[in-house]
Amino acid sequence: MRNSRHAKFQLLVDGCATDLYRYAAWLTGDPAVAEDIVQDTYLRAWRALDGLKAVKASRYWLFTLLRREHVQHRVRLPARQAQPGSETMAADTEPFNPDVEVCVVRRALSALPPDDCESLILQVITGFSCDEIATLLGIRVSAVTTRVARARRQVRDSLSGATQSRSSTARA
Amino acid sequence: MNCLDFRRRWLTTPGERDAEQGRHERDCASCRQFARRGSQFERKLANAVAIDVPASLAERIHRRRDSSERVRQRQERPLRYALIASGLLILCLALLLFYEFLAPQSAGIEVQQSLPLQAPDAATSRRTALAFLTVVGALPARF
Repeated sequence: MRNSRHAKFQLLVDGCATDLYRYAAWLTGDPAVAEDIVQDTYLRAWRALDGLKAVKASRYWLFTLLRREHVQHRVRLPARQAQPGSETMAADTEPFNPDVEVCVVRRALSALPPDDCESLILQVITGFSCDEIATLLGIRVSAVTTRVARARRQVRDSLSGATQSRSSTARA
Repeated sequence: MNCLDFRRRWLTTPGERDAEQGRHERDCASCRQFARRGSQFERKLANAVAIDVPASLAERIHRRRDSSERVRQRQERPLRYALIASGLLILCLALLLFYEFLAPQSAGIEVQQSLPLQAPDAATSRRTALAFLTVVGALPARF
């Protein structure tokens, strides 16, 4: 019994920790806070693991838990750390990927309205359908499709704008 | 499916493509171009979103869980002891009450119940002994 519980938990960690961390990092804009939230999420999952019947739904369940943890974290944290616009990791703290294009995309993502950005990030990271994202965020499916399409368009525009400005700079 | 539908669907759910979309993509050159550019964009987007994950994240998750469990057990232990102690106390009180008020009455009933059973046995054995002695001549017959 005890071993099966541990095995189930191990499966959850192996399967979702990376995506949860990435999502949390985009939500918070701070890798340390993101890690805290992920750990809290897994702690909550561990305590409620007996109630989890369908392992297939665990991924969705974990993301729901993470969103709740994020909300609680924002309540607990001082206001200055909890502003969604303070996402610095996307563009400024860039030691991990020197690729300029990646930086540009991250900057464009950071410039998006938080709701649009969250929907798009969720879709890209998790591969959830618009229905699932709508349920997760507690909004209508049409709102999700609008947000996702709008966010994609904006990022594309800023990417093409950056490409054009780069090429004109190179020509000059 | 027209081009507008194709592009709208592509923008909302680029990962999902049904047969109808596939057919349109095959037939329409501009949408094919759009899809090709879209795929490249999706790759860039996926790369941008893929933030580096700390190498020991899983290990730290497990460690956090273990430490939290230990704390929880430590917090629960006094409560468990208190529950056991109160249970034992209640049991002792119940036993005390039982022996104080219920046990003598039930013992008395047992004694009363056992007497009628034993009396005939004792009388029978006495009568048997007298008859034996009479028969062997040790006692006069009037006894």
